[in-house]
Amino acid sequence: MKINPFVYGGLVVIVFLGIIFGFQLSGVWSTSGKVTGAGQRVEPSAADVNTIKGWMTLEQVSTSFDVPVADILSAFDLPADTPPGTALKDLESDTFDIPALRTWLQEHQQVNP
Amino acid sequence: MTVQSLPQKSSLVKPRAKGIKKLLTHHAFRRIVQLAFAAFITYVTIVHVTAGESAGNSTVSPEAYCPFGGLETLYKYITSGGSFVSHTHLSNLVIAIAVLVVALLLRSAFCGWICPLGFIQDLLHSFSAWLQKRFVPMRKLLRAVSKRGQKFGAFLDKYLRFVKYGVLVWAITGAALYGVMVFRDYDPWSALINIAEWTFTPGLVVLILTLVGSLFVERPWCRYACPLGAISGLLGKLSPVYIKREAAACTSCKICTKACPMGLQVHSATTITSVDCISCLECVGECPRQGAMEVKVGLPLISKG
Repeated sequence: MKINPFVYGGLVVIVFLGIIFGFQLSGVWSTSGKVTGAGQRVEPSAADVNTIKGWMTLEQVSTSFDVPVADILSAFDLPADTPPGTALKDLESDTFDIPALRTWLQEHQQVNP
Repeated sequence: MTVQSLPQKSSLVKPRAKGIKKLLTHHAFRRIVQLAFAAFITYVTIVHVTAGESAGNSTVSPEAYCPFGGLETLYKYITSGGSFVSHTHLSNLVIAIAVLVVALLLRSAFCGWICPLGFIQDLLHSFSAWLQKRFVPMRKLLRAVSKRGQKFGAFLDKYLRFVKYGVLVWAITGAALYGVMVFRDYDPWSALINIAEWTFTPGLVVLILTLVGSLFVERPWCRYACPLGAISGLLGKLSPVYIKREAAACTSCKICTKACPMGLQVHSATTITSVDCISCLECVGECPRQGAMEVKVGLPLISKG
């Protein structure tokens, strides 16, 4: 069976967008780590270090995990005058990233339960 | 005995389009589709950069629409019960699924019709062709260089095409082993959508090389290094769709081969089922002969000769 190139192009767009809209209509869609698929706001939880996201601030992590901001900054050789409202992703460097922070917080929780 | 004569090849020439029909080509349609997706992602990027993180969900990062991010986070999503590697979300997974389904049904059509990075490379190569038409010395110089390095170029082209499979394995296994996107810092697409951050990454170097390279070679990133194109091409082998060259109607003029942005030898193939074919259908659109190049549907994996 032969396919016209116009029909082919139309099919590409319909299949691609159709699948995406299908998932969106089923509620399986989220473009932000700030809300869950169900639209609930994501907050850091001391019970699970994996709830820490790049958009969260030092202050949020400090409050949730009960760790002073100064301790986090010194553990990763970050400038001591870093504002607590800074997003974690904006601090990413050779000495600091989110997985490293998660590991450090886990170890910190084990030492200071 | 009756001898049924084949139609004269001259009678198989496609009728020349006139007026508005001249503009209504599948090539124009493809460019409109590519432009629409590129415009969408540009809008998302500009809003994200200008409005920042304070305007709620409207400032979604353009990285949330990257299909390869979905493939990188898939292992973690399955093994951790629903969490993602940094910079990825549910949208990445959904778009990755959409790209893979398109590949299974319609080959690597995502690359040829939708991918904005492919579109940018297409535009740059068209610009280079436009420049060469207007500046004869430049055209002559490039042709001379190309002629001199023809053998070496063909050798490089043949083996560099395998690099993308290495990139695919490294990016997917790296993300699975370390829980981070090891490919992100080397990804030219990531460098482009985060260009406003003014951060120097290896990805920025790859992006510059890709953009400059596009002036001389069509779609260099897609040909040699794109991991998404690699997996799309492999899955496309299972697709029922293929391009057929009808030898009886073909005059081996090589227009199809010249039109192919992936540098495939279309004029010498019976069916075009290469993993590198991006299903842009430029070969079909450019062919001047009626019925010489057609898109067909058949049974997957069955010989289509």
